[in-house]
Amino acid sequence: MKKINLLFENIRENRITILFFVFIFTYLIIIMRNAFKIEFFLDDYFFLKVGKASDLADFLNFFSPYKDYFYRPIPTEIFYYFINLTNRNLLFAHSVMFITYFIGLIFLYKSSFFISKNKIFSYFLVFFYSINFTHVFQLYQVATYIEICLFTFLSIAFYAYLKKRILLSILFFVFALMSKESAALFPILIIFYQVFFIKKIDKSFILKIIIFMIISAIVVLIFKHATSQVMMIDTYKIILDPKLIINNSVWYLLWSLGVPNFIPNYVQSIFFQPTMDFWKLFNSNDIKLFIYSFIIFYAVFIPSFFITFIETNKKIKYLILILGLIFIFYLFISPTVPTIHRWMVRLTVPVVFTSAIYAFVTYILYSKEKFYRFISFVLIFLYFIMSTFGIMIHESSGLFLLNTRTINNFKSFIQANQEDLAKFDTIYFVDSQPGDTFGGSEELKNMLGSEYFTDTFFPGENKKIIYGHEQNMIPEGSFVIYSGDIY
Amino acid sequence: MNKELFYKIIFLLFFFGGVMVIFSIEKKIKVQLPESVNVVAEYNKEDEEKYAASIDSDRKKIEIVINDNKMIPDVINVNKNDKVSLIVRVEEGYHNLYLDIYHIGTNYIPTNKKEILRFDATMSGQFKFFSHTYRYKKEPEGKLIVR
Repeated sequence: MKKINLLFENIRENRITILFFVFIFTYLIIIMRNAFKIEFFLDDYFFLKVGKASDLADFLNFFSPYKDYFYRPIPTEIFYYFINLTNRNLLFAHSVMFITYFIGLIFLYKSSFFISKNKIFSYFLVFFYSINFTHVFQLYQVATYIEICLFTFLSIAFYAYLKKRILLSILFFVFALMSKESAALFPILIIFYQVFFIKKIDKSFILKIIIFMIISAIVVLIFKHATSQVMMIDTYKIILDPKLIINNSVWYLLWSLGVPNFIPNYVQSIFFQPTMDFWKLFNSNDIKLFIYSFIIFYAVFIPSFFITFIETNKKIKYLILILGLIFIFYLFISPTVPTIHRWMVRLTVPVVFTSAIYAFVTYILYSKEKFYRFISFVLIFLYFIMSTFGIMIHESSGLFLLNTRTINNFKSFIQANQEDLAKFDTIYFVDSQPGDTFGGSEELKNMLGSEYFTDTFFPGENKKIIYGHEQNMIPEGSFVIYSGDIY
Repeated sequence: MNKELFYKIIFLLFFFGGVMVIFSIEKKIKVQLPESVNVVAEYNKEDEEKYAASIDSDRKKIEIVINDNKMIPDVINVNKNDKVSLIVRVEEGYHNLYLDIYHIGTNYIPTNKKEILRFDATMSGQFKFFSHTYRYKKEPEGKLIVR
């Protein structure tokens, strides 16, 4: 009884925080409702195949570093093992993704509140971060659960560190490392916190940081060993070309500040005019409204930023904090900057730090007199509008619904031809027209994860898969599927 | 000058600067985009249904029924430049319908469901349409005659 009373008292005390999270979670579920019906595609089929275990030894083997693909056992093998257990249930997979993200948001709030001792600032931080459109990718595509795990485990590890529960922090740090190798940069975040907020470096801190760094080093070594094959692929190869590094750095920052992911296709460089096709984008009302709300948001945010800077008595501290946040943003994005493969999904953790800049400026305005408080509400309103349209346009540009339709067409095709397909050992995908790119066999190969889809669609069968763009000759006795029949 | 008033002016200047940028974009769009350009493809089922209802009103509607052996009717006559909406209904089995000349087709349609295939008959002649059920069997097929 006493415990129940305590619980109710706790709820009463935190009712605004609970209402805030109920609003954020409800909004995200409503605006991203289509995510729950997005099918498995691309890497999913590979992970569905490797995420199988018939006994404990198989399950433990998930953690083995002796693999020829990225060492990320928690969001890949283990997550897909449970998806396989539920008979590849999409609702289960997407619900786990959303719940993990929500847990991460709660710990982000807790960490922010612990550091700032300010609920309003923490609400602003979670608000700006949680509804940022960059999260569309990792919440829609099951294979990008990697990023959500990284964010959530790091949030918990950081909060546990703040609460001085070091063993728990280490445990979640290891989980984060087993989700994505860039978690190895976490000790630098702790150093930043210690130097900037605690301003004290004693023996106990040095000991803790050494432990974190040793764990990082071990996992980096395992990762380096495990990925020696993956790094051979051109798009993942590290290329120390200053032009590539600067270009990627600029685009990642622009994306995190609200520039849509497809803009690099239309604007080759920020110093040149956009291509003619850029103007066609304005035919879509959602894109148009997004770009206009983006312009108005920054028309209010830029003077807000400078006015709060001019008005503060601690200009140096203000500047160091902003530069520090940008530094950590780049720190977490740095491992992927020297590679050709540029992808918005990698902003999951770095966007925390750009959101902190928005939250910081908005909070300073909010804590001042009437007029400034009004401006802070305008900023929140404009950001909300910008993010809503941002989520809508990225849902379209990410082609998730289109891909889902293709996979469903493929399922229907297989269902309709089940008996005949069983008679053939080879499936040959032919381009509807020679040289088809979109909608051709090349696109299908990406969509179906090369030959890995067979494990899902033809379990227990040993089918050979040939794609027309790779081999012109149709082998005798092949079941021919015209790509146009699937699209 | 009062500091707050100065800041208010700054905010207003930036805000109107933003509005001016929007106006200049609007102006640029009008120059860059003649009315006939294609709309950016965005798949949304509800929008698609609304769009379908609006565009089918001025189209020639023809219903085709497909079962496992044949298409009814198997000959369709239209005039050149007709805007056609083919309502493809599957009575038996799992079929799609392909119109070779335009490289367009429906999705696979289950029994008792239908889908609309739209095209503009811009070329005159006789063209084949068929179902891709399974290429090693005889497929139901038909003829489109554009006069």
